[in-house]
Amino acid sequence: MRPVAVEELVAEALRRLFLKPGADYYRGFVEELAKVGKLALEPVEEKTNEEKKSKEKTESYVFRLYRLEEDGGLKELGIRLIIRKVGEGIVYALEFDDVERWLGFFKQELEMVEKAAEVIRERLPVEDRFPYMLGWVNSNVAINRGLSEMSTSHLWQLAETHALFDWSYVAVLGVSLTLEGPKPQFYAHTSLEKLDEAIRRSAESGWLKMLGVEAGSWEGLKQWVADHWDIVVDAAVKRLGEEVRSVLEALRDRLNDDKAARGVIAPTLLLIQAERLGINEEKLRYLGAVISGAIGGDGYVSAAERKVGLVSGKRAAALLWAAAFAAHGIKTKIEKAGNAYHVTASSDNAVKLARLYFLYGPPLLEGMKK
Amino acid sequence: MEVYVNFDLPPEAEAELRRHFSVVRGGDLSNVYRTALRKYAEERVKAVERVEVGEEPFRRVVYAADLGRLTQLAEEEGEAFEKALDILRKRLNEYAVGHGLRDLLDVDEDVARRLAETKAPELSEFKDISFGVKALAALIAYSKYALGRRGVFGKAAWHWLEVGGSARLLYYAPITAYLKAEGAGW
Repeated sequence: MRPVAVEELVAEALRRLFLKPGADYYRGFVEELAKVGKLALEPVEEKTNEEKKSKEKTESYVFRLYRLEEDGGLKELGIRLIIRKVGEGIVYALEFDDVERWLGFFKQELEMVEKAAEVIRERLPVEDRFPYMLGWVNSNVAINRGLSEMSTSHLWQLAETHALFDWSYVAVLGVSLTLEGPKPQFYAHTSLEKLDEAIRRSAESGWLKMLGVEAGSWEGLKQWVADHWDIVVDAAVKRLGEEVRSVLEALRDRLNDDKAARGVIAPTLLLIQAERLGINEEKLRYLGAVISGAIGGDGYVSAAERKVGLVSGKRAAALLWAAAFAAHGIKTKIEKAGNAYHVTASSDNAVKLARLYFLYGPPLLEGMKK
Repeated sequence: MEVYVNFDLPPEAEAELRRHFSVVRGGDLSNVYRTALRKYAEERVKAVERVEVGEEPFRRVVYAADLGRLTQLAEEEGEAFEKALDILRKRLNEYAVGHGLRDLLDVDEDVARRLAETKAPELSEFKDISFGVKALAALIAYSKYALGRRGVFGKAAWHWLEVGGSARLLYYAPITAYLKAEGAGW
C-alpha cells in the first residue's frame, strides 16, 4: 500500500459512506451508523472474507468497529472495516459479523429484486432456462459444497439470477465504500438441486436433448462432457489450429473439478451445438441465452467501441470460447491482460453478438440504477 | 468581459482568447475549487486521530473518528462543488450575454456530464462542442478525478488545474486535450 497515514485511509473510507448517490439510496443504514457519533476503529490481525475464500494473504488493514463511550469505554458494533490493495487501487468495505442484524436496512432493495425477478421469469425469450443458468455458472455463480452461490453488488445481477436459480437464502454481507457512496454486497445461495433440475428438464425436452446430451445433474453433465472430450478438442482444433490441441487435452482430467468445469462447459456445449446441429436462427437463440449470463457476469457490450468481450481466468477456457464463437461464424481475438484472458469480438462480429445478447438475453430492467 | 487564467497559454490560444475576452491572471475559479477540496481533505484527516484507550494492562491503540464531523464535512464538500458549478454557469452565461457568444459558450449540461464520464474510445465522439460544455465538464471531471475516479477527461482536467494549461484544455478538442495531458506524463 502506498505510504499514507492510517488516519488518512480511515478518513477516506468513512468519507465514502456519505457520498451520493449511495448515501441517498441507503440513507437508513448510513444514518444508523452515524448515530454512533464517536467511532473507534481497532486494528486487528484478522483475515478478510476475501482471504478466507482465496486462502491467500492480501495487502490489507482490518479494523474492528466500536462505539467510543464518553467514559472511554468501547462497545463492539459487530462490523469490520477492510482496506485492501487491489492492483493499483485501494478498496474499502465494511463487513458485518451478524448479517441478519443489518438486513432490514436493505429490505426495499430486496423487494425490488423479487419483483424484477418475477418480470424476468415471465419474459425470458428462450423457454429452456438451462442455457441462461449455464451462462451464469460460467461467470458469477459458483458451485460449492452442494450449493449454487453468488456474491454481487449489482441488484440487476441478483434479480436476473434469482429469476433463474430462485435463491433460497439472500443476505447482505457488508457494504463496499465506493466513490458513488455505499453499495451493499449481496450474497445468495440455493441447493444445487435447482441446477440439477434444470439440467434434467433440458435433457428431457430442451436444449440438452437437441444436443444429444444425456445427463440428469451437474455431476452427470460434467461426466458426459468428459466422455465426449475428443469431439470437443477436434472441433476446437478445426477452428483454431493444431496448436491448441495439447492445452485442451490437458483439461480432460480436470473436468471433475467444479471450478474448472464451470469455465468450460458453456463454450463446450456451444461448440457441440455447431458441430452436431449446424447454425440457424433457432440455434443462435441458445447462443444468445448462454452468452447473456456469461457476459452479464464477466463481460461487456460497448456500443461506442463496437466491441463485445468476455473475460476468462484460464487460457483453455478462452480458447474454447473463441472456438465456439468461430463455429457460429463470429471471429474473436484473445488477449492476455494481467492474469485474465479477454475474448473480444469487434466491428461486425461484435454487432452479431450484441444482437443475440439483446434479442435472446433476459429483458432489460427499468429503474434498477442501483 | 474578463476571463481568469493563472498559467501559460500557447500563443495561438492566447490570441484567440484575447479576441473575445480580457485575460486576467490569477484567482480563477478552478483555483478556488481546488483550494476548497484540499481544505476538506485536511479537515477530514483531523477528524480521525490515533488514541490509546482503556487501563493498563488492557490499554490499546484505536483510531477515533468523529462521525458527526465527517458527516458535516461531506455535506460542506458537496455544497462547495455545487457552488463552484453555479459560479461557473453564471460566469459562462455572463460572457455569452455580454459578447453575443451564445454558440461558443452555450452549456448543455447533459453533454458536459457525459463528457466528464466518458471513456477513452468515446472521447473522439465529442467534436465541435462549445467552450462552455468543456469548462463545465472539466470541473465535474476534476472533482471526480480528485476523488479517485480516473476518467480520461478528468486526466485532462487534472493537467489543466494542477499543471497549468487551463485555456489549452478549453481551446482543444477533448481528445486532443487528453492526448496532450497524457503526453505530459499525467
